[in-house]
Amino acid sequence: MTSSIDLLQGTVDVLTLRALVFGPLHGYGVSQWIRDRTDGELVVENAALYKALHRLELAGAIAAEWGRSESNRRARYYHLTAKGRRQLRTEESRWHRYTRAVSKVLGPA
Amino acid sequence: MSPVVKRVFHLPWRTRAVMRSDLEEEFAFHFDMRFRELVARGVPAAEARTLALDEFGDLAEARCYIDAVDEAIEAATRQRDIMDNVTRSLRHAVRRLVRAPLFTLTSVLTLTIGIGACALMMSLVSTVLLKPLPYGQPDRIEMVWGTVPNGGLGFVEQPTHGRMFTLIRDNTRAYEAVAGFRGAAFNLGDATNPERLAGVQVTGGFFRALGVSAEIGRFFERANETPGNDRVAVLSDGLWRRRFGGASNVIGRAITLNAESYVVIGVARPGFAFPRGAEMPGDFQFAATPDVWVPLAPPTAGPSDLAIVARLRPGVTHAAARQDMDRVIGVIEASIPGAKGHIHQLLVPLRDQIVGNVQLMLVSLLAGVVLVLVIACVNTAQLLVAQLHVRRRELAVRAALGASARRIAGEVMAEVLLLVAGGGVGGIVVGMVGLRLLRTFGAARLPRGSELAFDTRSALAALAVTVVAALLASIVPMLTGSRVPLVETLRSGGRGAGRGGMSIKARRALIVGELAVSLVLVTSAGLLIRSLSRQLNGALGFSASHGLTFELSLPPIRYPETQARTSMDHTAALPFLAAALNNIRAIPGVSAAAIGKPLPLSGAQEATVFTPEGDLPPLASDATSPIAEYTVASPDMFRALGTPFVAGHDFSAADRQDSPPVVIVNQAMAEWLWPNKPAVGKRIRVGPPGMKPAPPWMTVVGVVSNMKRYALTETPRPEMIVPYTQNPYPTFSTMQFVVRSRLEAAALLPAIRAAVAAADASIPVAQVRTIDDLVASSASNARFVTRFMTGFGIVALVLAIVGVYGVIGYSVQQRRQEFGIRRALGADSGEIVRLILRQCLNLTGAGLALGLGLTIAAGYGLRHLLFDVSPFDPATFVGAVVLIAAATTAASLVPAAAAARIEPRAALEE
Repeated sequence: MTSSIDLLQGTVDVLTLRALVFGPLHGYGVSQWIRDRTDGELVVENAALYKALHRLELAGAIAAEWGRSESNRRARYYHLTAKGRRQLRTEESRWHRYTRAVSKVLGPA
Repeated sequence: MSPVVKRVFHLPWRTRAVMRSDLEEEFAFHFDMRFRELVARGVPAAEARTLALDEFGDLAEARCYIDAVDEAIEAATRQRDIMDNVTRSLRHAVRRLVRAPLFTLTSVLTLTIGIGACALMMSLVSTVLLKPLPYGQPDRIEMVWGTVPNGGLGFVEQPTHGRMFTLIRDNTRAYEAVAGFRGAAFNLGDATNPERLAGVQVTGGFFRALGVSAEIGRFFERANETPGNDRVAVLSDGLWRRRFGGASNVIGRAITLNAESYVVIGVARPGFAFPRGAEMPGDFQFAATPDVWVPLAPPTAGPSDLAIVARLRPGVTHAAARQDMDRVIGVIEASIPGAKGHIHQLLVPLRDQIVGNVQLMLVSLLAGVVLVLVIACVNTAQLLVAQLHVRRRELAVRAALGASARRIAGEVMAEVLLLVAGGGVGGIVVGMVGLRLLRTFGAARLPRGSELAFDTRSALAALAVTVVAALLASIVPMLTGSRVPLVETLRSGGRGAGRGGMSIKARRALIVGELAVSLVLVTSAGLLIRSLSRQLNGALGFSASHGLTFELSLPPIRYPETQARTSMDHTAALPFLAAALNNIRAIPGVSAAAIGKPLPLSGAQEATVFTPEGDLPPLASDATSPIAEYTVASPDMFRALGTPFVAGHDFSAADRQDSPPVVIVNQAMAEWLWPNKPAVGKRIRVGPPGMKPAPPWMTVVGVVSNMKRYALTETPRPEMIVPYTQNPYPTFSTMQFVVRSRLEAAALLPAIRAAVAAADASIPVAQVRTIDDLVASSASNARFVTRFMTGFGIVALVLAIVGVYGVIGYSVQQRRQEFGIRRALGADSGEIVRLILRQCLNLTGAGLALGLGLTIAAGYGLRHLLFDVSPFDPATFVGAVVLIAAATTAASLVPAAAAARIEPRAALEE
């Protein structure tokens, strides 16, 4: 874990929202998606992930219901709401502005 | 699952424990999946477990955090679900109500009347009976009256003599303040522009006894009773604004009252008006509201004329005050020779004094109005059940698709809520308008009438009424609506299903109840109407039409009276009265004019102890001397009043101060004193037997019919009438006149004012009333309660007609086929009509039978409001039953006629 990047505030939220763009996922699915997309560079602690999921549910960005997993086990599936899609769009553009700005300061690696 | 599916198959709400186990399941699932994945990738099981566990991080902290978040989510979900449910139900209800405008309008109007009447009556009751009186610690204020046990006088509450008042004030231990007061008319201003004011003369403790303080300036003290300090006045807020423009520099200004100068020292708070005429016994003749208060030293001579108000010391009960008063009476009897056994004082808590008269009336009306509300709600329920019946197919289909009984009940409730809310808003408007009308037109006659306002209490009352109405109107429809028989309804294609099964039974039950309550209201109204008409059409003893009465107040400083009982020195007043009378008689169109005091039904009372020549008449068990009503009159008073003579003749101009004393008695007096003997020629004198020096004997010259003196409901009492020129008592400060003329009052009045002004321009003509008006206002309470109850009765009758019409009409519609078959089998239209009328009479009969017991109870409750009518008056009962039966029959004739027109073939083809 020492080799991976520490997460900035709010990053987990935007990553979670992004993970759900393609359809409903359970918490494990979200964590898998993040690991796969970053080749293990970004490791999100499950505690933080689940906190984000429930927080986003409270905010109305995502909704949850129980469904059946591929292995036919009961699992809690999350999906984006209209509000969540809007939130994702704003977060994404903010994130891009932020990383561009930081990159300009630091210059090419 | 899609959100839509979830909304319809609503998941049950989650408890805290369920949320917790859900979260653990989520974690466990994640852990298992990750563990298997790692194992599948070849990681040894022990290592995989550690790895998977490590990835979770600080679970304890996360659990805490997520629990809190989940609880918030759950709360929000519940709230949203409820709101969704409510708005959905309301939206459906609005749609249905708009689709049935006639039903909606009828229901809302019905509820408006029911709730409005209820709100009005509840604010009336809450203001008059429940709101604390507008005085400091009003529970501690009592009225102290003189009384003559079984004296047979018109009023129980009698005035107290000034000397007695002083003894009570000086000896009481129960009261911290005792004040005597009496009404007095004042002419304000100079000789050119007099205005008559309603004044009250009060002893020093008056304002302290009432516990009120001044708006500006100060009130009287005991010191203001002594000469030198006593020419001061307190103005009412109304007078201050009207005559002095509300200027605060009025304090210290001099005003002229009855040709004497007074200094204004204070102005009372707005709304302070004590005593109010409507709240005090009629014999004290207090004006509706006083304009001015002036100090009074307790009189040491003259007649008994004080009313007394007192404030209990803290912690002293009414019973303790009673005991103390008995002790004080002992002291009084010891200090006034010959008083032993003659002194009785009545203590009445101020609240009882003020509202005692109207309490029963208002409570009866409240009961009546509650019944109106019940009818309105029952009628609405009945219409709702009918609506549900029309919709039963839709309801059955929805039930089949899984809509729960609770859901359908909720929709009915929503519909009722909307209707009741409409009725509630309308009702509050009706209540506010009604209250304003009452205050405008009835405030002077109704105790605390000027305090009436649509306040928080009224609003709360209206709200409570509305909630009760919603409950009343919704119970039966909810029950029937959620119990639509599924299979039969669907099988019969939404028609028939017997005769409507459950819902028609419910409607019939509701109509029967409605008719029962209607009988109560119609009968109550009938009893009160009969009682009122007995009062108005009973023998008055005088003629009510074409008579005008007014008063003149003679300021004592210009028209002094001697206060000694036996002398008759009215030298100043008599010439003025004679001149005024002559001028009035000279007015063209006046057929008779006279002085008389007190005039019948004018609220005044005079009575005297007297002694007949020879044997004493039979007396009431605890009375010691004979007492009779006492009237002074000029010649022609009986002609002006239209009172017939039974024997003898009227006074004449020859009956003067110095001529032999004469007297006229009424029939009741003649029969009491000299049964079966001619009264003319017999002699009586005022004062108790053995009085020294003995007043002169008066010879009876005439006998007149009994007149109603105080109330239309009174039984005749003995009365003696003496010529005003020979009156031994000083009662000339205010004189009453009666004028009989074919002219309208408005046309006559200027001429009368001119005639009085020609005799003395500084004396205003006041208290102008037609005799008609006097009669009407003495029936004002009876009229008030009768009008309201009649209104309730009419509403009940109309609603019952609407209800019966609806039920019978519906049943005719349901039985078209049956009637068609009957026609085809040879029944003529008369038979069909008879069939339907029988159905109607069954309903009516059941309703009336059910209502009979209630009605008897209601009549019993009203018994004290009835005059000369039995509370179970058979004529009224039969009349009410016939009226309701006729109304319901008429209501069912329309559907009956429709049924009679059904063609045999047409009905079968449907």
